[in-house]
Amino acid sequence: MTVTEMDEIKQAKALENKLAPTNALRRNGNSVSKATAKQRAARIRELRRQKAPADKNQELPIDEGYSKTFLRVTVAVSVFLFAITLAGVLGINSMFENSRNQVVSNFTVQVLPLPNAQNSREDLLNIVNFLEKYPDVEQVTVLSDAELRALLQPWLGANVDIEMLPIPKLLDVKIRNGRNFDYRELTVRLSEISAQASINDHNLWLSRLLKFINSLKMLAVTILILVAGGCVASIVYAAKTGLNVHRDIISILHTMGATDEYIAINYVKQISQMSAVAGIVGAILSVPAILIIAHMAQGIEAGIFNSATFGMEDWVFILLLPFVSATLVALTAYLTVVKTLRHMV
Amino acid sequence: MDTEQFEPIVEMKNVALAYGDNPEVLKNINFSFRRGSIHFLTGKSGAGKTSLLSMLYLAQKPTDGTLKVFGNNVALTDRDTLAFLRRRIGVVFQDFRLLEHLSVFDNVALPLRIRGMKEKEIRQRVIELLAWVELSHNMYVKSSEISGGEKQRVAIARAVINRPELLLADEPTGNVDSEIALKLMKLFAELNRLGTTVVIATHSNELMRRYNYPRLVLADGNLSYLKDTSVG
Ligand SMILES: Nc1ncnc2c1ncn2[C@@H]1O[C@H](COP(=O)(O)OP(=O)(O)O)[C@@H](O)[C@H]1O
Ligand SMILES: [Mg+2]
Repeated sequence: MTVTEMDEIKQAKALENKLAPTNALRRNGNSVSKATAKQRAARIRELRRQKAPADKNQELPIDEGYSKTFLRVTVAVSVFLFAITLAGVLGINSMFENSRNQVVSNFTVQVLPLPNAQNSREDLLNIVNFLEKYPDVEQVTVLSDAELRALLQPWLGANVDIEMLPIPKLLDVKIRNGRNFDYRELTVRLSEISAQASINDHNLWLSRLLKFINSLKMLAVTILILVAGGCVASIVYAAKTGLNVHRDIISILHTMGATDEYIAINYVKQISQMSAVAGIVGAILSVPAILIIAHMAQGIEAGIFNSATFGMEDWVFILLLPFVSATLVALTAYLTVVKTLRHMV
Repeated sequence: MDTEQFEPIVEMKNVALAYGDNPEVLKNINFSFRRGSIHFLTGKSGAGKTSLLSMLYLAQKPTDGTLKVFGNNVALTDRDTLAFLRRRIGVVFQDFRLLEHLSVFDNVALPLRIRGMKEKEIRQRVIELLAWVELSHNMYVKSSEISGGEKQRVAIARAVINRPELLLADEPTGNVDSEIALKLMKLFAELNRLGTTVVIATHSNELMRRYNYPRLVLADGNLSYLKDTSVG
């Protein structure tokens, strides 16, 4: 025990001794007034053993009512919209990645025949030479007639001599670093070598799709920013009105020596707890919505894309949203409260 | 002995206070309190007693002049430091100003929670003090649900739980019958004997007749000092 503690105890005992006989603040003068110090000590011990009620009220209450309901709904709707938008972006991303991973490592070049067979052969040789020296090209394979025949068989039947037909030659080109391969550049360069060659355009098409998807993502980000902005605005509003309603409580807290930080933390604890709950509701509601949208999307994707794989980590992402939003709410509320309190006594 | 003991606990020099653009409620106030002193602050209703106390409990700053509390010039003290100074001051408001949505326990615990004391120690202290003011049976009752006399005891318990160096009571006997009023006065006297500096704002002549404490008298915005308490 420290010296100050002993002092404090001594002081408290002295106070007790001096005041007890005066019965300074008896409630009704007779019921407990004859309690001896011993009895009182026993009573205090007993009171200490009792459990305090669990539902401790907050010093700066956020009143039930319109503004609290409004805030809950705002947060729940925000998280719901957030979750769906995020799911959309993640889903499109994964669809696209799956398809892209397949096509990026190789592409085909189609070479149309020239009227003269000799010229055709030279043209083909030039193109193969050019492609083999082209950066990031690993291997160039000319599809054999047998392979071509196999490819064409479903359309032309088994007994066709393809030598007789002006069938284009197909080159299978394997590349390294397919993701960053510049097909535009290659298209231009290839056209300088031969007018007959063209790149099978599904990679080009994919890069256009990529652009489209990127603008979709930008749109999604814009929506997210707007939703978050709306959410932030409602919190600022709720915090400001809440503090104004409780000016008198705040002034009492200040008089007791509370710092602005103390009051802000008290408020923020409640509001972030509340919005975490509302956010969880929003996130849970978004799960069936996402599943329905995903189900509808399966119809479109068939054939063009591989399936959108919506993995564990994507769900984790979405289910983390309530906590992300609670953090946003907490931060906004804290800054608003501290700023508002500066102008209060 | 530390030097703080020789310094006045509060000091006003040429202090004036005006609300907004209104004429000054208090003009050119000069006084200082020694540590461990006890004073009455008196004057008619509307004379500015509450206004003067509110500057002492640091809810308002003088519009002119210098106020020093615990040696700190409040005009030059930052917001957080003022909060820490307030923790050394206990206030009993005329209208109690309890947090009505909180229990009796939580109201009394408030100054300790604000100080960041551990909940276990808070419990110990609050239970002890509530037993002492005979409020144990109402410990967990909402403070809006208790009687006026009980509220007064809660207000007093809250003001003294932190063992303040300065205790300010604004018409503490205004709302209670004379028997309780005298008991209250006894309590203040005891606290003063234990070293607390006490200021009691009152306009009750009866009270001032009974207790021979030096008086500060407010009239027309000016403060005069009456050491001779035989006047009544
Ligand atoms: N918040 C306030 N705004 C404007 N005027 C006030 C305010 N508080 C008090 N006053 C005025 O200041 C004067 C002194 O009031 P007050 O300090 O409450 O006196 P007392 O406590 O002695 O009755 C009164 O004229 C009152 O109307
Ligand atoms: Mg008053």
